[in-house]
Amino acid sequence: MLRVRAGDDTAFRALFEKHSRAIVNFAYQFVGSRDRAEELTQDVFLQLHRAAPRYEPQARFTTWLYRIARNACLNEVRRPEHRFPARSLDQQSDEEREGPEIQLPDASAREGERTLAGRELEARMQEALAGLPEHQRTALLLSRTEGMSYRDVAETLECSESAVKSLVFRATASMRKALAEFL
Amino acid sequence: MSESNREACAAFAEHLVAYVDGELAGEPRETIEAHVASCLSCRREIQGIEQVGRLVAALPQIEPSIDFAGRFQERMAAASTAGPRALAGPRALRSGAGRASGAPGWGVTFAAAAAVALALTSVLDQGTGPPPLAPSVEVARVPSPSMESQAAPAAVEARRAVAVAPRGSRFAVADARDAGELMPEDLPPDLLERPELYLRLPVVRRLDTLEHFEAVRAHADPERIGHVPRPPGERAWRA
Repeated sequence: MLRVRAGDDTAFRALFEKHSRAIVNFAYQFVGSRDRAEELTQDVFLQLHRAAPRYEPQARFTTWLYRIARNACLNEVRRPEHRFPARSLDQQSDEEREGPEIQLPDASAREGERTLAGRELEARMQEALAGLPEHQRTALLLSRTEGMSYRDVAETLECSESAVKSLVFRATASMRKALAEFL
Repeated sequence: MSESNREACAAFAEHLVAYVDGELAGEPRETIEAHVASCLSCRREIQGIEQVGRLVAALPQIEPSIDFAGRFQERMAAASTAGPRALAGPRALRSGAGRASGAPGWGVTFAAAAAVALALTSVLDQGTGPPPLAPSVEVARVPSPSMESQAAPAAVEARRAVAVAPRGSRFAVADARDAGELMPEDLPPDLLERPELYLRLPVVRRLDTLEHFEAVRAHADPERIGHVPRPPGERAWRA
């Protein structure tokens, strides 16, 4: 990022290539639409590029990046017209249906049943994630899918580590409840 | 399970996720370790926590579209030639269509938010109310992330809301062009340089969660901030 600040466009492209996919997936968990997630990701990197000349390495770059991404997502989901599409099996597009699926823990299940049950589990997970309060969802996603420490999550969310601990605990409890029949 | 063991389980319940995540150290970790070694219930609890963690981590990842990087390059090029409005992207254009139908949007929200935030700060500046939530409405004094991380989240949100809203009169003017969408170039330049602080909070909707709001409302001019008396028995704070 320091090279980007110095005007190195190659470094900016490298940052985009390295982090954009993760940000698209992060945003996707908020907005539930690939198009919007991609657009939000582009917004984030445009903001980042614009802010680069004034960048000061006070925090880790990734926490700064995710803070921008999180704010962009919150702005998006708080738009009056936004409604998170809770995606049931019936509502999934062909493209989504053909995508990767969650592997069920039950290895003895037959392939067809596995696929269907995996889809059901995924749909239930998406629904449960969408139902979490924004802070809980963000804390859970950052710690589980991005592998951030509580300290980094706290920096991203601008709260204390003990608050993150509580957020992850409550999010996990809600997810366990929602997924009880699959666990 | 004995009564004392059950009490221990209840006491440890909220710490088990942090324990599984390796976020506990020293004595707390050792205490839980010792308890878990002899407690089947907590071991099952840990198993469930780990399962949820694995499932969330294994959520299918989507691949960006083939033309994703290309479209981004186009927007970058447009932004450098056409100025900051190009940053808004096609979503802003869509919302522009929505505005034609007369739906209220962020511009309206911000106009109201700015008015309320100004009323709040003026009351706080009189020194008769609770400690001020924000030192100033000057955007140039947006606090640093390190300062913010030490403050209570509610106070941080309040500071940010005040920092964003009242800069001159441009947010209070319901601009027909932008009634539904606050565009990036409408924000103060200082905030553009600190995009991590750029959060369009629906301030009015969130005011009831602000610290000291009740006290502020008690000292404020009811007409100025649109105060509506609360029916008896209604809770002051959201659950």
